[in-house]
Amino acid sequence: MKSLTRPEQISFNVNGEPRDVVIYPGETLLYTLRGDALGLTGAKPGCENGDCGACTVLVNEIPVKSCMVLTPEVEDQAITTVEGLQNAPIQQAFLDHNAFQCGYCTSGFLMVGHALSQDVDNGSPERTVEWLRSNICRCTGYQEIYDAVSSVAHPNG
Amino acid sequence: MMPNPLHYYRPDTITEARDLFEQLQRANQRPTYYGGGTEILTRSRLNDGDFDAVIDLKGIPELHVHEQDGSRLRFGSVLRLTELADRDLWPFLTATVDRIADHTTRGQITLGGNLFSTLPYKEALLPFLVSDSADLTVATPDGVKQRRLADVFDEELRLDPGDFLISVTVDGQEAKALAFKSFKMTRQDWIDYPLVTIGTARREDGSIRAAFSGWSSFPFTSSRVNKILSNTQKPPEERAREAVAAMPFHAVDDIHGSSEYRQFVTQYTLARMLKELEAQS
Ligand SMILES: Cc1cc2nc3c(=O)[nH]c(=O)nc-3n(C[C@H](O)[C@H](O)[C@H](O)COP(=O)(O)OP(=O)(O)OC[C@H]3O[C@@H](n4cnc5c(N)ncnc54)[C@H](O)[C@@H]3O)c2cc1C
Ligand code: FES
Ligand code: FES
Repeated sequence: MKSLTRPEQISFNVNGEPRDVVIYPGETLLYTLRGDALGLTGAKPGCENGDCGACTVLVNEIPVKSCMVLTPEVEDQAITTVEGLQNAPIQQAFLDHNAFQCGYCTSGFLMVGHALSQDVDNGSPERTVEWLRSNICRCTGYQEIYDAVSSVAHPNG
Repeated sequence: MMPNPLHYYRPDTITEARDLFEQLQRANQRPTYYGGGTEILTRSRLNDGDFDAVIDLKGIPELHVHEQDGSRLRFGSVLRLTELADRDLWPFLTATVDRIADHTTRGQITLGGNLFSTLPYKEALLPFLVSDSADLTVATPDGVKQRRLADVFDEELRLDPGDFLISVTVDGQEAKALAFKSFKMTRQDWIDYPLVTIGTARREDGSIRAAFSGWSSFPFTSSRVNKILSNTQKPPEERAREAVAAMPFHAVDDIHGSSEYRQFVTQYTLARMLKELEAQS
């Protein structure tokens, strides 16, 4: 049985690299990622309530809201943050479609778009709409975001 | 952004989890079972939780079961709502859970967490409430026990303190034979808590059952309402009107909508569902 009752070191893989971090047992993944040890501030704290999606990262390639996950839950798993996207097609797609304004929501949308782009065989406009409903853009650039994500999630229409 | 003041445990077996709950209580801790954590972490952040230790159930293999087990469909309690929808073992359940929260959050919410949510909605319960054969497999101090859902449901699923849900089953034949409709009505946004969510099913004998979430502070089905809905001598609109008038509880008045608006939405939604269900047959 795994038990954490005080700050302790755990290991996981972040953006392709094994990392060991000392965490509090009740720490959220968002907190751990943004903390001094990792310094990955791409995942943004928005609502911290599961509503906005600004904190979205991938755990084993699946989008999760990192404010709604305890770090001990993802021990030994593979985390991808926006810093881990290196020349991913979704990044160019956001540039090509001017899919950001203030940018606060962008990393969350990029992670959802990236996950969709990794499964083009199941891609469809309906699926893109459904997945993108998980995130909020206060600048309301939804059409540009949809166009950018669609171009990599279901490129053939 | 401070860490939640919680201790974290992830047992590997049912017995370990059940024993741990009692051990922690004896040590004056306040444990709670942890599925997807979406509700527990929200409550913890708002200082609204009577717990200081979480027992994460996702390390226990029996809680991940997702299969046709002989004649029954078995759904492990830590299955995520997206897993239920992707596998689509029971389309009625899929249609209902696919309207809870948003896609990313559904990848985190577990079936057990929704069924035992402390919020009023528990929408995943609706298909089980309209079926006759739903059973719970429960971890108790005396080992694993089966309980009929109907026997433990009284406004909510009532287990003894410290017991937890391993899985839910329904008879595969019954599940297959139910023609169904599942509609979630929200105030404005697609993603929101329900004004009312209705699961309706038409059984092989032509009778109709409905279960409701959002109407009152707990989900329910009502034999009186079901009888009215099943009277096909009357047109759907009339049955829907009579059903709303015969509801066993008052419609709640809250930020999602007034009581009157809920009644209005429920009535026209029910009428539409009846028409679609009956056209289907
Ligand atoms: C963005 C967002 C949108 C939401 N939208 C909806 C919605 O549309 N409809 C809706 O119904 N809810 C909604 N919710 C609320 C919510 O998350 C649910 O309450 C959810 O079902 C909780 O599931 P969980 O697996 O995360 O549970 P947890 O937070 O892990 O647990 C919830 C409760 O269930 C208990 N529990 C968990 N597993 C078991 C088990 N196996 N046996 C016994 N008890 C158990 C826990 O002790 C706890 O009391 C939403 C939440 C968020 C964050
Ligand atoms: S910060 Fe996590 S969903 Fe808003
Ligand atoms: S670009 Fe400003 S919140 Fe989306």
